[in-house]
Amino acid sequence: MTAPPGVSGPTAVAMRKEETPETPRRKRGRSGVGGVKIPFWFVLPAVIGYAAVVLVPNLSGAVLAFTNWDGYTPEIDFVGLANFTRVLSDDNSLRAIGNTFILTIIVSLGQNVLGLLLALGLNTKVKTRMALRLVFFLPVVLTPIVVGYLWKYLLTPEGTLNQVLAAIGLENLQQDWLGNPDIALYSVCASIIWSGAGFSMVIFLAGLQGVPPELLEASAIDGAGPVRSTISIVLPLINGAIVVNLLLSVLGNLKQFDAVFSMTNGGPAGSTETMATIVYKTAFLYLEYPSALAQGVVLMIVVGVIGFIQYRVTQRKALA
Amino acid sequence: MSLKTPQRIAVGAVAALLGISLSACSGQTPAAPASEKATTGSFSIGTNHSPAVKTIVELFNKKYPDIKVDVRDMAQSYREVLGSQLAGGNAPDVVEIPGGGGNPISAKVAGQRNFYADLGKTEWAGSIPDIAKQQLETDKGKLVAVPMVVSSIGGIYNQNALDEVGLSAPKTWSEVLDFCGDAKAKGRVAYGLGLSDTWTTQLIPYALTSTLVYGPNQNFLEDQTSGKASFADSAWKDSMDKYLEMDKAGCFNASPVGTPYATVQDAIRSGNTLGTVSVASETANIAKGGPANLKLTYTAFPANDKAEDQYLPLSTSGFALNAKSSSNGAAATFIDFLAEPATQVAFGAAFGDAPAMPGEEKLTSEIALLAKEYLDKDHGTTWPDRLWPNATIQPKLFDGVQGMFIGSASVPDVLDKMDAAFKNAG
Repeated sequence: MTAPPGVSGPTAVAMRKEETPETPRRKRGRSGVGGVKIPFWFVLPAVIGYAAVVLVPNLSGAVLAFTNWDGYTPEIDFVGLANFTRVLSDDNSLRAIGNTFILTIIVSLGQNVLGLLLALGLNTKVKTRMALRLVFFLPVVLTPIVVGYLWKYLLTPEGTLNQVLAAIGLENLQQDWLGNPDIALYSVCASIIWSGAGFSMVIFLAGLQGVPPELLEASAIDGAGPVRSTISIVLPLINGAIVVNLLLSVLGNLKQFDAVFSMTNGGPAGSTETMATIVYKTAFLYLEYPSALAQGVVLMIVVGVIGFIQYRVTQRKALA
Repeated sequence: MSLKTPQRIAVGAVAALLGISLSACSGQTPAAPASEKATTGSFSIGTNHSPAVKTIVELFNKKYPDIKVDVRDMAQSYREVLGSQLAGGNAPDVVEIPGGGGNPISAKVAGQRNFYADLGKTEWAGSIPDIAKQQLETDKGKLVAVPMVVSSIGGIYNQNALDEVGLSAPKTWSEVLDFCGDAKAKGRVAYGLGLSDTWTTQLIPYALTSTLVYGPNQNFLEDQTSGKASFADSAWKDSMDKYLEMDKAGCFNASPVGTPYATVQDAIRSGNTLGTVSVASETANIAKGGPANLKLTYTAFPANDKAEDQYLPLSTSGFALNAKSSSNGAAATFIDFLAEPATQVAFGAAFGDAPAMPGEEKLTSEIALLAKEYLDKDHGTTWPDRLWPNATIQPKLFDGVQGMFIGSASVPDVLDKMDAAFKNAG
C-alpha cells in the first residue's frame, strides 16, 4: 500500500514498503465499457436539453450585450463595446464587483473552516453525532431566500440578536446589523456561512471517513497530538474534499444573489450590491437590458476565469 | 475531420430542433385585438395577488355565468413574468397593470410597444378622470387600460393609540412637528419608517412634493424636460430637507434604514407607533393583521401650514386587454364590466382604495372620500415616478434617501444624481 501524501514518521516509512497490486484499467473510448459500442445518438437528448436551456440563451445574451436591444422587440443595432464601457465606468457596477470579491473570500473561508471544524467534531464517536449532523445540515435544505428573510428579521434593530445581547448585558454590542453600511455586507456573509457550512461539512465528512483509522493510531503511537495529526495526516488525505468545497463555494458565491436580495436588496445605499443583484436590477428595475447583459457577460468571464485558475491550481496541488 | 453518417444525422437533428425552438421564441405577428363583446366563452386574467380580483370575478360570473374565467395569480415576480409573457405572446387575455412608466408592464412602457389593445373607443373611455387618463395613455394618446383605483399617499394612524395618548392626526406641517414631539413625550413613535424595504423611501418625498412642487407648478415635468427646472433647484430640495427635519424632530423609529416595513406595520398594530406615511391601500393590510377593534384613520399628509393649499399625490392602476388575446370577445366583455360603477366600487372596497370611476355610486370609505374631495377640487397630482422619462431616476431616490439617513449622502448629492438620471432619458 502506498502511503498517502503528507504522512511521515517511521510508521509511514514502513507502510510505503508495502505493495498493493495495481488494479487493471478498464478500456474506455468509443468501444465503451466492456467492449459494448455506445451509439453516438445516446447523448442527443442531453445535448439538445443543454443547448436549448444553457448554450443558446447564454450565447444569445452574449451577442445581445453588443447591441441596443430593448428586451422586448426584435429591433436591434450593434453598438460595439459601448455597453461594456458604461458598465466598467459605472460606480455602482464597480462597487458591486468589489463587494462580490469581498463576500466570496469571506464566505468561502468562513463556510469551509466552519464546515471542516464541524466535520472533525462530528467524525468522532460522540453518541449524538448522527442527530448533530442532521441539525447542522438542516439549514442547507432551506431555500436560500427563506434563510435570507429569517436572518433579516433576526438582525433588525429590535430583532432577536439585539434582544439576546441586551438580555445578557451586552447592550454595547448591539448594532443596526443590516442598516449600517459598514457592517451590512458582513451580516449577509454570516447568514450565507450559516446556511452553507452544513453542506461543506457533509463533503468533509465523506472525505474524513476515507481516512484509515490505523494511520491516526500509528501517528498517535509516534507521538503526534490531535492538532499535528490533523494538519499532517488528515488534511492531506482529504485534499480532494477541500478542493471540491473550495471550488463550489467560490463559484457559488461569485454568483451570490438570494441572500443579498432577501436581506438587504443591495442596500443600504448600494453598500451590499453584488454583481448578480446589479444585473437583476439593471434589467428589471432600470429596464436597461443591454447594460444588464454586458454585466452578465462580465460576471460570466470573472467566474469562468477564476474557476479555471482555481481548477488548474488545485489540480496541480492535488497531483503534487 | 469528417463526420460519419450517425453523427451527421445527430448534428442535423440538433440544428433543426434548435432552429425550431429559436423560431418559436422570435417575434410573432400580433393577432387582432378582441373587440366584440361576447356572453359565452372563456378568458384568462393575470394578477399580482390582488385581493380584489376574486371579488370582481365572482360578481362577473353572476352576471355572465357562461363565461369561464381563469385567474392566473403570479404573486412572485409579476412584472418580470408578465413582461416575458407579453414579449413571447403568451400572456393572459386581461392583465393587471400599473399606470405610467418605469416598469416593463406599465401602461406607457408596454403600451408603447403595442402589447395592449386600444380601449379609446369604448363607451366608458370619456368618463376616466384626467389624472388616471394621463397615466393610462401612451405618449401617442392610446388608452390601454380601464382604471380601477386612484391610489393616494397619506398618513395612516392608529386611532385607538391616538385616543389613548390624547393626540390627533396633524393637518399642517407645524402640527406634524408638534405631533412628533408630543408622541415622543408619551413614549411612542410618531411615524414608523421601514427604509430597509426601498419602496418605502419614496413615500414621504412624494407626499411632500405633491404640495410643494407638483401642485403649485403643474408643468414641472415639462419644465424639467425642456431644461427650465431641475430637482436640485426646485422645492424638491425643501421637501427632502423637511424629510430630514422630521428625523431631527424625532418623528421616526430608531435605525429606520435597518428596519423592515413589516416591523412598522406590527408597531402600528400594537400602538407603539402611532402612524406612518404610506399608500392608502396599506390601511387594509395593516388592519388585516391587527386586533379586531383596531381603528385606522387615513388623512392627507401636510407639507405646509395652509390646509387649503395641500395636494394629494395620486396614481392609478387598472386592467389592460392583451393585444394578442384570442378570447373571442369574452375578455372585452369583462373589460367593459370592470368599468361599471358598481364593479369599480366593489373592487375599490376589496382593494382598500378609492374607485377610479364610481359614477353616482355612494362612497363610504374614508380613503375614497378623501380622494374624491381632492379630485373634485383639482388638488390631486400624479406620483412623480409615474411620469418620469426613464426607470433609473427612482432607484437614485431610493439609494439617496437611504444614504441621507445613514449620513453617506446629502440632499444636494441625491438631487444631483436624480437630475443626471433624468437627463439620460432616452
